[in-house]
Amino acid sequence: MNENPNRIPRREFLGEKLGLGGLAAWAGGRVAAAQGGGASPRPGRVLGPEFQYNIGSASRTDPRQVIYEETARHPAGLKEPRRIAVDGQDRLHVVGDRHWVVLDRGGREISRHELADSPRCVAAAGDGTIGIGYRDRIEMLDGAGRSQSGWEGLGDRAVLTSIALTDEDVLAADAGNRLIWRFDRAGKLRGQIGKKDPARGVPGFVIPSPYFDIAVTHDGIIWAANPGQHRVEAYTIEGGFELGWGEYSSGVEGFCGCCNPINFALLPDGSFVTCEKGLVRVKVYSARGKFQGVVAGPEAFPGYRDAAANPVGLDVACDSGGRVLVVDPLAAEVRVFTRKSNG
Amino acid sequence: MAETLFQATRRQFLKGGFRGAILFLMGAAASLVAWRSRADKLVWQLDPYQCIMCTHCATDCVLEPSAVKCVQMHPMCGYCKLCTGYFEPEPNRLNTGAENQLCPTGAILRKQLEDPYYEYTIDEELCIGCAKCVKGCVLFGNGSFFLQVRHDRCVNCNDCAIARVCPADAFRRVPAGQPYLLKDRDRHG
Repeated sequence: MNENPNRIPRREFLGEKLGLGGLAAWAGGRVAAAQGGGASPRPGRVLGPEFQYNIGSASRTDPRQVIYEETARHPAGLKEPRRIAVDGQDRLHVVGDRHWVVLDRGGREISRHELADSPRCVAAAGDGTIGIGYRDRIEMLDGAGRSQSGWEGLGDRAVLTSIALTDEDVLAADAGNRLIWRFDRAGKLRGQIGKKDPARGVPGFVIPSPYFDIAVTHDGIIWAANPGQHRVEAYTIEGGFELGWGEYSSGVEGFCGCCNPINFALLPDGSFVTCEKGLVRVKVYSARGKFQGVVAGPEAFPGYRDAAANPVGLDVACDSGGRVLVVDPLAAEVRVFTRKSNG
Repeated sequence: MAETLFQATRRQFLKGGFRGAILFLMGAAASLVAWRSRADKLVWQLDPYQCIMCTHCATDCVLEPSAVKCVQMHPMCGYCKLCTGYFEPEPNRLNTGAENQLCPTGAILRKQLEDPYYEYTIDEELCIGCAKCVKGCVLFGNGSFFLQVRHDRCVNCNDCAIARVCPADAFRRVPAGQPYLLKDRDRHG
């Protein structure tokens, strides 16, 4: 039997009760009644299988569906790396803790910058500008880490979860307000995208948890995860809803749980790499949203099976060569996956 | 000068006053003891961040059903249409049919607020503290379901039978004035 450090000495217990006089008798009687009359310790009692939480076969991946293989692991040099972006030179920009770390293609650290707050998202523009999102504000930095312009806060309700940059715009996904903010490069607000508007056919984002990722293509289409609807949706820069794909399933073709995908990235050919939580897996979908295969199944992330660990979800980015770069916050690494030659 | 009917003698007045003072002092002393006892009293609680969602809370409490219940922290809840604490991992339909519900005792209530948002609450009379729903919620969702010792039921055993077997050492004594260990929304982003 384990010794309980919280156990109260008999003297202290009795003293407390004696001090209360009559209350002691009442309390003692209540305990005695509880322990004696129909309520006693029940050693050896076990609950039936209906009380066990079981995801079932979905936690196993058919090896024939795994079309990528892990080819490298790069320690990010952070206690808890959270997000990743890749720039035009295929350098990796990883943020977490209170730092922004730049790694070369081989995972060697190029530079490290201390940030004023805990970063929640990062994006890299073609001109070398880096956008970092904090809970309620954005900071734009040049490649050397110098802050370019001051941005005002977005209010108490804001929870920024993703940033995307174009030549003219800074787009910020706000899970708290369930919309995408559109700013110019100087921080002037130009509009909002994705706010529910039945008249315009905009379905609205359903964001149950602080995961709401966006990406922008070269032709200016904004792709946004709509995790509560298990979809990935496309919007024009003016906020028009274009299309969406994805459906719920704990099977490998769909998105599992209450709210997935949590994060995604675009491959050079326009196809999507998605990350899920709960059943932690990384998968590839075609540019039209058709399931193509698995990058890494739940077997590749064993630490995430322990729900009590409550880890931050995976993030993903892709480089120009089509490598899939997954930030694994539990392992504190960037894990590199390359398409199999027969994949 | 008019005579009153109830005029007391000096002796009677002092006697009554003394008796009143004694009673007042006794009352004050009792209140002080009770207040100090309340302030110092400790009760059992489990830390939701240490809980590993085993089933000991349901099976090892001296009470039946257990004094440990699932609680719902609404500010953390995503109000999901597909709540993974409420629904089986592969529900046939997203409705309240028993075959779709995760909870074996049907202790979770689902109410539509505004599509696609639903409110989930715990019926503590039915909850046995098995943590099945907690696991579903923490694994996929925000973890707004978690276990707590409910102090309207707990008899505060000196040597808590669950604490003795808790594999995560999640149980500890906390002041009776602050008897719950709630989750911190900021910790979850």
